[in-house]
Amino acid sequence: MHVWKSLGERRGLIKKTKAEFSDELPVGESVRQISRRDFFRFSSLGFIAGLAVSCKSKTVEKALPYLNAQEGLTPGVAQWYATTCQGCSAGCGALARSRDGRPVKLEGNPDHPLNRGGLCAIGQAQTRGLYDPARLKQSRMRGEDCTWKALDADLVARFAEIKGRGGKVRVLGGTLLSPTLKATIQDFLGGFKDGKLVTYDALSCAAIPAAYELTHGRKVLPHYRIEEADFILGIEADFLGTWIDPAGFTRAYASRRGPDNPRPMSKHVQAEAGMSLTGSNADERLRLAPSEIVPFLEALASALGSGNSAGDLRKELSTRAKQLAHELGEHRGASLLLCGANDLHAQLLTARINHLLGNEGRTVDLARPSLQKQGDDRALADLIEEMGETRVDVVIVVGANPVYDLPAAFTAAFAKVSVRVSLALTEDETAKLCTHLAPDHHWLEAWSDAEPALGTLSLIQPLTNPLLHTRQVLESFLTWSGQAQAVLDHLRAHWRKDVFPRQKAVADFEVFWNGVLQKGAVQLEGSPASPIYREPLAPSLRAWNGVRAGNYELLLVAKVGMGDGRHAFNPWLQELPDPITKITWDNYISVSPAAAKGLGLEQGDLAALRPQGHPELTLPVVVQPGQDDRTLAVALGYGRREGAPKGWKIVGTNVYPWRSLASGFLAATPAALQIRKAGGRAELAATQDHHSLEGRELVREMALATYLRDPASARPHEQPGPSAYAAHPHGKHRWAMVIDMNKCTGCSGCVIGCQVENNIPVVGREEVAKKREMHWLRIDRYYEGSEADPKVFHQPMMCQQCDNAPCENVCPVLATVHSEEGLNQQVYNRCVGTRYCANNCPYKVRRFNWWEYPHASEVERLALNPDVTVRSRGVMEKCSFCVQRLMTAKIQAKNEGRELKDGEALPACMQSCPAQAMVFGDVQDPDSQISHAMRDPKRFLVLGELGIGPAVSYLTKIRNAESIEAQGGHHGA
Amino acid sequence: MRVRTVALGGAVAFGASLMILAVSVDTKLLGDNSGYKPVQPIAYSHALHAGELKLDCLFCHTGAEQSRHAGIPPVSTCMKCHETILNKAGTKPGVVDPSPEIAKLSRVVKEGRPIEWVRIHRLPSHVDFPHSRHVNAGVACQNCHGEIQGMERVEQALALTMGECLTCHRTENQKMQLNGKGPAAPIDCSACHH
Repeated sequence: MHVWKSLGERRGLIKKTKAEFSDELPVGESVRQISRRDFFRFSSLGFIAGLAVSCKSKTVEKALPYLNAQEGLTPGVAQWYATTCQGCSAGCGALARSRDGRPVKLEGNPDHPLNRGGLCAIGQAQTRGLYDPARLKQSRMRGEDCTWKALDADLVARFAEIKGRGGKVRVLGGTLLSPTLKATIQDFLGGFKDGKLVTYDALSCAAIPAAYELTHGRKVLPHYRIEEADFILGIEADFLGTWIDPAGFTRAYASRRGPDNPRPMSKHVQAEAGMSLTGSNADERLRLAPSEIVPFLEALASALGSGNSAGDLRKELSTRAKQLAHELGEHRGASLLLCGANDLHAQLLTARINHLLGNEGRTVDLARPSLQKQGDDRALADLIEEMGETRVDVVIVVGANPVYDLPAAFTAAFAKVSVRVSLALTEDETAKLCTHLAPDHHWLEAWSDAEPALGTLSLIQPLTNPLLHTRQVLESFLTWSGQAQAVLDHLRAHWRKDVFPRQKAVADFEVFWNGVLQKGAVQLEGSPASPIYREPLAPSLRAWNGVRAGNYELLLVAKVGMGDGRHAFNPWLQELPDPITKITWDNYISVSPAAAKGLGLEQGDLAALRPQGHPELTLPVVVQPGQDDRTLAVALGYGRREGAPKGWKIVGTNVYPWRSLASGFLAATPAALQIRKAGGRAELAATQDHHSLEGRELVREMALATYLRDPASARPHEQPGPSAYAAHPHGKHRWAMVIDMNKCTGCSGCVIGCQVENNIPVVGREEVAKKREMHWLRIDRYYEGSEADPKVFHQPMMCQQCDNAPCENVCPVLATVHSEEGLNQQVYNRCVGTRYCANNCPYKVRRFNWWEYPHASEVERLALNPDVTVRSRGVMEKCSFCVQRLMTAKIQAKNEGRELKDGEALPACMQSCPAQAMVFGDVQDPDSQISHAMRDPKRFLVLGELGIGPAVSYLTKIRNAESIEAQGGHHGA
Repeated sequence: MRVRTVALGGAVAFGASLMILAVSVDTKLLGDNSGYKPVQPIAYSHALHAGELKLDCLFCHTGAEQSRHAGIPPVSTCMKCHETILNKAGTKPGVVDPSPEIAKLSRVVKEGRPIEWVRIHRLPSHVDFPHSRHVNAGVACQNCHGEIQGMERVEQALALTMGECLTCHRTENQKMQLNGKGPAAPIDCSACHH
């Protein structure tokens, strides 16, 4: 009989090598080589060694109490302080949790009028920045460490000299939300003959205030009231993901999504080139190349009776523009046009259309404008010119990294300034070129304030003593202007003088101050007069020069986790999958499926892209369904090189050099694009490659009209499958969660919230590529319909805490068992790592520790949550419904001798959800929010047919449309 | 030759495993540190303070009612009394204390450095034991810490293993059920392990 293993072997193509197993096993012989005596001799050696090993050597551990009792601090009890997030310039209210004097978690502050309890992914990842090992440890001068005294002496002497000869001093900052800091900087600059504060935003919106200056005579960025809008038309404005105030906008947007809110469901149409997070949530999406934005707006304005459309628009777009103008007009005063293009012409048209629609004072608030983007790109261009002509003596950079994110002309001009001061926390690209480094405190160590919208003020209070020898920006400016005042005194003095008199509700300053400090924010009453539209409505706008050259257009976008790139060294954010592409640790060129075919490119190919007159850069290609066929989109914020922790590999490619100030505003260059296959492939670390539902109803959707006709028809027809096991008995509580897919935008705040709360390790790009990411909570993204124009679903997926959990009955060591509160418990110290449970989990939510994931440095370990075990290699883990938070709340209630209140115990994902898409609670309490949500006809189970009784359920997504078949397709694309 | 080395290595391993087995059969469970009684930097006597002077445990271990940790008192707590009461003999306030142990306390305050006590009771890091819940439920400190009021130098009285936790929790639940009340002491894994 001839046994063969392959066809090649059978056909004699592979010859067996005779030598392969030719050695005879020599065991018997060698055993005879040692004598009985030898055996005992060596055994006794083992005896001694064994004795030595088994004698316990206890490591002596020290316990150090405080020297003096700290007021209000009990070791082991968490403290919460209201503060203001400084992760970006949105200034969301935050609550910071401190354990034993170190901040470990940030959550949204429900009392803040803008974000009202939500906090985005970037915001929740901020604690990592505090414990960043790459932070500057002290002041530096010309590349050498120096004392603060020496730095100040040197700078003050130079300032005095410049003052003497009337030299120019410039402070270059990102948007500064703190009114006190701005006043202090102005104070400092007032001492010079020519001192100016120049502000710019890397993700600039400067064209909006510039347009309002022309139309209304006041340079304002409107506060868009999305919650007031029945009809929203977004044009290249990713307001749910990265534009101006994502968490605040998401909260406002979600309050009108879904059919069962007090106010009718809003309709959202998005016109855009790339597939943004916002576009993926729209009821209807139009593909619009960047060069078509202005013609499209002109068509809209013209249909509303202002000006003429130049007629250079594709026919289907001009028809749709007319229809949209009609629909917008039907919602006069309750519609909203949002345009994200940083182009003066586009913004003038946007301001005009919102005026024509009667939206001013309703959805477009000009009286209490937003202060979240204060950048002035024209002032920036002037600064670059001044510096280039060697007319500036001092530039002090605050909260910005211009060498990294501005066109190359800045760097060349910056080098001509003799005194360059950086106040950055790390030695970033700009600090590298500075003569003086005066590192700022992290905002969790500082006293400050913020005014994100006119009249909405909040305070920032320190959660910990400064970890390093840094100094707060405010104190630096105070010192340099010769004022020896403590920061807190200065802040209070400013509030007493400038903020306190702006309100009348509280008569006593101390009461006012303490109130704001405790609540975190205050909204001052009284509304200043709104500016009036004064520009003629005739077609008086200057000729638009944004004509595209060449076949392809460049779209530069920001990613939800990375923003402008200031947090590029935060591993949590790098490993956060992009909500649309699900790719981590990279940026790439997104091309539409048709364009990819035309260019002969496939997902993962390397392509070299060059806008004429700009550097050529090579990036991997990602084929993005739903993208405009002529647009190539690349994310900004990658390729940071300086200010990295030791051993950090550069992530992605910096495409900021592809922007220019040519139009007067920071925007992607309109130059012709050349793209070519560069050869070679890149491995993209995506957490989801498979996009199809395979015909299963993992997500459900319904048209609003159908739902309103008969809400009960939303109820799934299929009954949950039968169970093979008897039902579990339940104790006092039974936890469950309902996720409203109408509200969830896929913003991924919950993913980071979960990671921070539960000490979830970062595994790195290579491990993600092997599908070994550790996130307990992921957001599945599904496409439906055609590749060219798909509909998108976002579905948060975590352990479903099944009642008859398939993982439980395959564990050989009882490491995963059911609790009497309905939780599927994972017991780390019992787990031996067979991974049977993960194989048997139909939701694929269990995570295995393939390695001992390092919590790298001593400092970084301070960011760990002491309430949660740090898992070791070889152990399975998964979502626990934040059982540590449930325990804390239960213990608190029991200690106070009362019952647990509904809403008191919240998992981390739910607490900070900017959209409030999750409801969690005890289903044994019939009046709880969760019990109400469980009765919703829209509720469905994922894989309910398996009969495993998941405790997490979802609400059917309702599209604001007449029917869902109209534009989509069928399941299983 | 190589095979001979392997065989001799096997002999060493055989001997070692026999010895480890012998030692562990005779002693305690893994992680059982009962009887641990280290010398402390200050010879503080629980027998004197808690036993003879009848100070309430919570007078010093203030966290026990609110926190997961009972807490070791800060030096300022000791000084509340020892600024006026200097030693058992009752030396006058302000006079340098003759007791060398209390003198150490004054030195600590002067130097501004915390006392480095040697930690005795230590649960593994995957266990969360909330003191507050137990103290508020009326569990006596002695249940876990032994007759602490008689200890001149503190030693770990119990093994503090999971078996001990569960025995107590189950007994309490049985008592509650006999009194017609629902179980109060959780025996779910995730109550302590998370």
